[in-house]
Amino acid sequence: MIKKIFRKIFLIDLIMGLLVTLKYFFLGKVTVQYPEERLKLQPRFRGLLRLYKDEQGNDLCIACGQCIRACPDSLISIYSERGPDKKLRPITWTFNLNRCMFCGLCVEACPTNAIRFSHEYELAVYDKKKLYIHKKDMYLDENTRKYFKEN
Amino acid sequence: MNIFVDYILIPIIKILFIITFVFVAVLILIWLERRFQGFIQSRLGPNRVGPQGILQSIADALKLLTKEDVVPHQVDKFIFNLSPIIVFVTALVVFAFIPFGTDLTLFGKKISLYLADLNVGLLFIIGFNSIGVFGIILGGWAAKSKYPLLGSLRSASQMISYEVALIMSLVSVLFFTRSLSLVEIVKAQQEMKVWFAFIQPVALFIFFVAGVAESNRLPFDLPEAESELVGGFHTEYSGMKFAFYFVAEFAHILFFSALVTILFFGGWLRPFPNVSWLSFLDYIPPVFWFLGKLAFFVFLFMWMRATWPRYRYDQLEMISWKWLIPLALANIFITGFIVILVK
Repeated sequence: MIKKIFRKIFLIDLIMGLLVTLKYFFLGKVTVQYPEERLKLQPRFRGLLRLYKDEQGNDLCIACGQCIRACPDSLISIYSERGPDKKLRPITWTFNLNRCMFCGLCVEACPTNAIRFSHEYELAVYDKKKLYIHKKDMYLDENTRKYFKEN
Repeated sequence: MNIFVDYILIPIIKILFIITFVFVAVLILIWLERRFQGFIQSRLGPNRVGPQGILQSIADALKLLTKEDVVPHQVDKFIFNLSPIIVFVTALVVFAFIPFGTDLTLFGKKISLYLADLNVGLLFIIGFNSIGVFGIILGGWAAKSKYPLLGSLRSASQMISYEVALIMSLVSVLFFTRSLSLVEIVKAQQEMKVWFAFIQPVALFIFFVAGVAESNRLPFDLPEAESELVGGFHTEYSGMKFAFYFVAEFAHILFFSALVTILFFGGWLRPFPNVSWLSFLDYIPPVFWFLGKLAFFVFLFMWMRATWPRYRYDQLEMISWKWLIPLALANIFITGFIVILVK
């Protein structure tokens, strides 16, 4: 009882609150200073979709069309032809980043692991046409790394 | 020639100096508050414009200056435009009576560090401060919109309840000083060799709480109450008029911190003016003692804002009428009784 009155008269609870905030004043900050600092991405981070090649430099993609069928928004379109070895190869491979929600159904559907998520996430462009990404820009190499930085 | 220097040139320089001081201090305070609050909330706050973001409020001021001056069609235009001016001017005028330090000697001339030393200075300051509240009330009322009206109603009743406690808490201090001049109040503390905070802690508490309520700061920021009333009385204001309200709010913080410093913490006096072995502290000029104490109370204002939630409206009224005013009255009687007994 006396303790309770003491707490009330000397505003102990309010002062305790002040001390809590003072503690946080000196503790570490959680802000990441974005352009200078970046968070470390997890291995399964869902960045931009990329096409991959095998060790010989051939397309892994066999133009089976599973990704076209899996995509809920129909963002992928492929035109394919049979090569000299009678195997289907994609001639054009267009991916529309405009409405992609990174659901990953195409990645799951791909039987040859040709299409995978990369770790690129700065995907802003000034021209909307650039978001229709064609086959030559879908592979991950020195030129395509610059694709979203040039604008 | 001498009259020209004494009565025109020096006062004008002082006026310019005080206005610059208030403006620069307010700009720094706005930045500091955002930064402090950021630190308390485990983030960094504005740190991009200039070193550590110190130019952020200048950038904000420029942005507000270039914004369109929106006047909604339903408002009472004259009062709508007048009320930011009332708030702004009254917030600036009170600094004319704040003594920043002891007299300086410059170019063989004795210069006092205050613009005016009225013998009713305290009364004048409190009066002007009350007029400043009218700017808030009229501004909310002239906007003819529901949230500003609620804000100004709250401001009106808050003014009525807390001004009583504010002035009553001052009476018990004035028993000792027997003067309303702010310079005399500090000198009385020098003569008594003790800060009034130690002989009048209850009055200090009441004055500080009422001061926080008067300057519409958390936990008493009901007239603004962003989460309930959009922006309270300044909902309809934008651009430079909003900036006037904003600057005035921070000028109020500065003013109340200065007043607490002068009335209860010995103004420009060093800590423990009666202890002789602390006399090495005299090497720090009195102005810096004043500004240091000021900075502490300004920090306290920000610290409180970052910590405590807002009081409910009935709690706000209850604190004033059921606790602060009876406490202030009891304090007056007890202090007066003791003063008579000692004499």
